[in-house]
Amino acid sequence: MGRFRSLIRSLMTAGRLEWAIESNWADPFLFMTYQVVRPVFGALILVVMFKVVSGKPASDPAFAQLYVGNAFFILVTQVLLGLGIVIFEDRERFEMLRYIYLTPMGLGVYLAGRGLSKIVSTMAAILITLAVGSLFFGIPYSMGIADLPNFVAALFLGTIATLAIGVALAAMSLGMAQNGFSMPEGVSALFYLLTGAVFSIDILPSWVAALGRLIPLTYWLEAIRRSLLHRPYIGSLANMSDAQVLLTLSWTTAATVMASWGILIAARHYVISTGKLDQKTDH
Amino acid sequence: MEWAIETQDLRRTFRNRPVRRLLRRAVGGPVQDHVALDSVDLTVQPGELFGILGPNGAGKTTIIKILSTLLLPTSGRAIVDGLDVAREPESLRRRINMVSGGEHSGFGILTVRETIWMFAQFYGVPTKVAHARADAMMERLGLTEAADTKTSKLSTGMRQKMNIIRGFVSDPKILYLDEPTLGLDVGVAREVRAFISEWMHEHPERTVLLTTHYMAEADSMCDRVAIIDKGRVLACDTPASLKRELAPDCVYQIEVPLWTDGGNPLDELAVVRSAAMEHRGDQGRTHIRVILEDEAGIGAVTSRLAQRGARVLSVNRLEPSLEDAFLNLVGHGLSSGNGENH
Amino acid sequence: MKQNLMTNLRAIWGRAYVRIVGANREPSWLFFEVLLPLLAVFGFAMIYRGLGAPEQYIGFVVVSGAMIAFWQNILWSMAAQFYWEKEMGNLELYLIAPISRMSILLGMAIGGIFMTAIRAIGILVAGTFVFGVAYQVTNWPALILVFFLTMSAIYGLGMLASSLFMLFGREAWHTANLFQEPVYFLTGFYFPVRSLGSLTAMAASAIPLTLGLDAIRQLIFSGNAVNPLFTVRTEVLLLIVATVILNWAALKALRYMEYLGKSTGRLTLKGQ
Repeated sequence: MGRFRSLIRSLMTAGRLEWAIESNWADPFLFMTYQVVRPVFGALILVVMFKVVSGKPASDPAFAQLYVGNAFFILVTQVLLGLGIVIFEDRERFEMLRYIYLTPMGLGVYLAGRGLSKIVSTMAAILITLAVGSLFFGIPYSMGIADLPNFVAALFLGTIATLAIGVALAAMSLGMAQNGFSMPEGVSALFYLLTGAVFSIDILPSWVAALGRLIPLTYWLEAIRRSLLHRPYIGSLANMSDAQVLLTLSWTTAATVMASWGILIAARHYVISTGKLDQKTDH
Repeated sequence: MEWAIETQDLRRTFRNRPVRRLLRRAVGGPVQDHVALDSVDLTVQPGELFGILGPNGAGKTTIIKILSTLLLPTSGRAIVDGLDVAREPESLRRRINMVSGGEHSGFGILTVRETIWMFAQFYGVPTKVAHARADAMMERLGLTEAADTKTSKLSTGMRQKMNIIRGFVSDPKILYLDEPTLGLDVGVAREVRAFISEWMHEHPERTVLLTTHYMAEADSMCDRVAIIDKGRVLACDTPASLKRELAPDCVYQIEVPLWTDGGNPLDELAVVRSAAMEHRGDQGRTHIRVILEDEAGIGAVTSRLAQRGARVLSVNRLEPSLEDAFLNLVGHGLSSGNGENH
Repeated sequence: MKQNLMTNLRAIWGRAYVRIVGANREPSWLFFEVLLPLLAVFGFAMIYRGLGAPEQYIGFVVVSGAMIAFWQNILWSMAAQFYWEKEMGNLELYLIAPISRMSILLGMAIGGIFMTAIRAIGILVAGTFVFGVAYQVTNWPALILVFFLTMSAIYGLGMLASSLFMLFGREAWHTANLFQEPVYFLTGFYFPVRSLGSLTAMAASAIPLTLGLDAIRQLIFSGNAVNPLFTVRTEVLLLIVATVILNWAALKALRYMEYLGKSTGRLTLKGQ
């Protein structure tokens, strides 16, 4: 029990640190604006692209799928980028990484805590984006009470999967030079391609689509769409029931968490044996 | 006479940002401005190695920042080599350079030689000249073997030697050294001090302004020392004169058994000008260094100690040191100041 | 005057050296700076393919992807660098040196040009090969002129931004982050800016990148999909005006921000 309490306390401390760092740079008003402007403009890009190409209005069901996928994918981008920055900043700027490493809390819990705080603040951005979609573009959400358990379960599992991926990428950053700063952005772009965030993975070459079907985020977005819009998105998953999608999401998430843990252990061992925990590589 | 450095009623106040001031007022918190420097008047002669001695938060770094054009004074003037720091900063920058203690500037990916060369370029030093100067200085500081080592792999001592060379490679007319031996081991600190002293000897027309909170450093290196605390200059003279101001037979070291009762047993004893206690738990002793108003006061001191239950084990009369002069002026040791963040 | 010029030229070279050396000593940038950004380009290209867009739109995305490389070099590797340098303790050493701040910034930009050019070429080549983009370049001299004018104009904008980074640190970093998507949206990175409506497009042309991209598209692609905002000639003239104004404004802003920083004591304040 003591260890569990200690774990929760560590997670909350790391979470509060993330909040303090992210909210410290500006007045609260500007900070909230930040949560709105980026995702909304990101969505607007898609709106215009859709209109320019198809000539159809944003309330078209095809656009709704695209919009919802993009809205929830904000979580992936924010968490991956956010955690990617943590390692480089703590190592090169604040020179705190070694001290974090030495704490009983350990790097994994520290990164998870900071990621959780990022998730909480990003949820606001997602909600606002969804609201904008409904108010300004007429996106027809149709989630009923019966869909709520599915939605909540999918959201929970997707969040865990995203956090696990973020922690794994941050762990990989441990041994990288400053150039690796852009790795999380690149990996986020890769997931954007492979998980059906804004287009069905069925249009990709079959071997690429097969890769996409191994990623939990693909099932996460599919489950979220089904809960909110009552329509499957990815054709090749259309034959799976909601329960099957959720089950696949569960075991792929579990596998991701285990892989992430393994990567963290390997990365820690690597930096300690090569002395790279403290390296300075900025130019 | 044209001074190398002159400050006239120099003042620097740091204010909270407007939004934070409003927020603090709203919750009833303090909105006090921080006065880092308060009417500082200093003059430094050309060719002098001038020291500024004070605890953390005294204002030493603030003075350096103003004189190096990184910070504007709130009021007053600072003139360096005949140039006003606020009005003529561009012209002044050709003539100055600065090295701080504990510096981590530079890029980890460059070697020592490359880092020194790069900063020399910022001063327009031709590459051949820069390399020649750097090589000579690296030789003197024992850094030649590390010349092609990436700076990210340097120890603290080697890094600071590199920083020192970076400051000197532009051959500045006036050099600011802000706690240059901070965090260095005794050997490296000695090498750095020797290097600075030799450079001054070889360049008698150059001026160095050194800030430190190491008494011995100020005492041994500086031609004159200004003692500063809470933004005010308390005294400014040669180390010998500052020590002489204290009557030579007024400094005593008294040894008593380890004092565990808390507080100072010599509190409010009129004859005691200042008293600093040093507890040595491993030896079971407390050393009390007292500066007395009058030599005759030693009797009152030993009586008071006896009254408070502190058996006097030994009494030694000491030559006053710069530390004594400092204690006398400031009233507390170097470790009891606030951190200086500006 | 001559001494000043030589000092500043040396400073440019000194600062550029770090970037050039960094590129050689940490070759991992090839993966992070070239391969991974390619994926973002592929993402948007696939969106258009998924929507059944004409192939020209995919060409727009590929060309924009290459231009984003330069934009990000200016914004993040130059302008924002002052924030990192402040944290590292280098900024104050630059500021006490007898050099123009613009020399340091130019050195950073020039030093990063090699990496950026490789990234842009990599995106162009890979994108063209994978998606089979067809180009119809009508006027090579005009294209080169537009490219360099766009670079000098956004360089001025980048220097203007760097003055904010110098003073505000992390706030400026987040503000630049904040405007990333709006800039991509308003400058028509992924679609002709006229699609936003004439009024919005006109307003967006205040950003030199909008004009540059629009002109480049007109010179590389043909057909109705291009949907130009102004003629190439007009856009070249506007870019010249933008270059002059932005570089002049940058010089003023750098001086003012430095003065502000020195007055408030924030110029060398770390950990903001």
